[in-house]
Amino acid sequence: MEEFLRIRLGDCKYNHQSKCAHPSPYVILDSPNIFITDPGGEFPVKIALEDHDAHLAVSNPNGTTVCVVKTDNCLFNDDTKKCDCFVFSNDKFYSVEIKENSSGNRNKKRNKAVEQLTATFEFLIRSGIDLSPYEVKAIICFSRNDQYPIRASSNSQRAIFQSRFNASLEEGNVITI
Amino acid sequence: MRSSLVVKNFGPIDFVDLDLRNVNVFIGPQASGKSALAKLLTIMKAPRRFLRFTDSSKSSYEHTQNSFFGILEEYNVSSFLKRNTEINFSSELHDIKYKDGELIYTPKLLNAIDEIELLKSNFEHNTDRLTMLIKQITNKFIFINLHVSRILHGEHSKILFTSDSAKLFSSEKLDAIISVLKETEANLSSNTALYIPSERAFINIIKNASLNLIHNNVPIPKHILAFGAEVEKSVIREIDLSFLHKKLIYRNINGEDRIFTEHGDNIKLTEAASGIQSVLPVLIPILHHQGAAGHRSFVIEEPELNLFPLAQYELIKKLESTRREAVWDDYGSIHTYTTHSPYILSALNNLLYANKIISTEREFKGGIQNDKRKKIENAVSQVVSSNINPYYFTAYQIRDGRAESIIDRNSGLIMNNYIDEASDTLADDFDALLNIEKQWRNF
Repeated sequence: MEEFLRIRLGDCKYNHQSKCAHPSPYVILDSPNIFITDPGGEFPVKIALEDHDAHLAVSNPNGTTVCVVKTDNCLFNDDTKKCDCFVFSNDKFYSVEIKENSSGNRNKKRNKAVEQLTATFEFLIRSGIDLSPYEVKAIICFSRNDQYPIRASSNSQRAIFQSRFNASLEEGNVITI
Repeated sequence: MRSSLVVKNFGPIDFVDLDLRNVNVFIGPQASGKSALAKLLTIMKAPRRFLRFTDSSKSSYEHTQNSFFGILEEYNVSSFLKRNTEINFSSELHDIKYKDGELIYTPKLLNAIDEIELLKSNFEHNTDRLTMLIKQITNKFIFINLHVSRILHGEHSKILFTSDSAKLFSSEKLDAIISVLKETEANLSSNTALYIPSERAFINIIKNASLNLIHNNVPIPKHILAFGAEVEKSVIREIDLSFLHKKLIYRNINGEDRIFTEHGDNIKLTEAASGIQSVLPVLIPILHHQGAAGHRSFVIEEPELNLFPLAQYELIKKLESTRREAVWDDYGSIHTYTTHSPYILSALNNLLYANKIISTEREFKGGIQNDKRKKIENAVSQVVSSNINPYYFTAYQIRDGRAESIIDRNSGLIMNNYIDEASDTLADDFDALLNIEKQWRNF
């Protein structure tokens, strides 16, 4: 998948000004725990092996080879609405949008995240990227996850994602590879 | 069945334009006007509760400011009427327009019946027009169609009305058809709509003291009394209430309402839990209609009243499983809900999605095998006992005097809305509290 993405989507669009520890959008890891943080502003996500304040924890108990792809402010330029990163292994593909919710407005941010994730999947389809061999999930990552009270519209969004992209739309801070 | 209700400057409503179908939902904050709209819908569905004949030989109706004001007063919304109030209601049965203090009632079906009556005197020469008029009516009203066919083709006929049926017209048969048309029209225009108020549990309490209350001139709103009378008329011997509590059963024993528990004990309805007292006045008239022919429209104010979240879900499933789709204007029932509950809204959304899964499989172009289709339908029915066709569903959020549809017509599902936003506001506040605690800890 990594090679295929490289061919179809290329490399970092900000190479000339990048100050990233990992200059490539494609970061290969096999650690049991991987932490991803959205620093905000015009920076791509930060990937670390230890970060207790991270927005998203990737649990990889079997030490599988995992590829994290920095999308926003890295692989994709500003013209494209997109999620923050992809995380994938041999059989799982996650598209992740991180939303900082300490300032409130969770509802607006969720709807924005759904828009970005939808645009990302539409872009992947247009780019001829076949996700059918993978278990596909779209993750909205709030710094704190809430399940209740129930929201009819969130269920509708899940149904639409499943129908359009065969992807499960979820909210959470932890994904397991 | 479709109708439309346009309201301007009525109480908190500035302007709303509602396309209404077989299941309608109004959500909105307190005092947004959703109940006022639901009450207006009830009034407009059955206008001959307040309009009177001026000439019994013709379809002309007397409508005074007083009679309209009177019915608004009955529903406790009369003070919402303003100088510049405008109301437009339109259905297959009739149109009603209220503007500049004047109400214009156009009984569309009755006007057609009047024309049939006029043409009847020379029916041999008017066969084409008569056939067209009767065909137009029978296409929209299935019970009228069945009656007309029986009149023309004989009591045991199973043929529906066609242009060929017109060959059997006679003066006597046309008289019989006109009589059926008038009876159905009068019934639909007078008794179709029932408003199930949020004060419904109150009728259980006053039931045995009604004479005393009338004697002492206790001012109980008329729409509550009218609803109480309707429940009293609708006798149901037994209702399974196990969706509220294990083996709970309602029985009407010699006119007395009793609740039987799983241990075989029984108590008076007035002694039962508030949830039971709120649910029964909803179920009794609706289940009573289930066993009857004809059409009814039920407006159910806050079905969630006094109910645990799961019981709210079960109630919606029960109500929707009893509803026959009103695909004709004299058949089935319409449910209009007003609610504040995220569980009611999500329950309805689940039923919409259940229908979508079943329908998608039905529409599968490659031709899905029958046994596979049945398996899918069975699997869906194992999860939810009923479903709602999104085509027949509308949902509106009412706020700041306006109404906005919250249905996505492409997916047939409920989209972002005030109730869901409220859930997120609670989460936002919890986040803010967590932040404060974190800042204090680091201070």
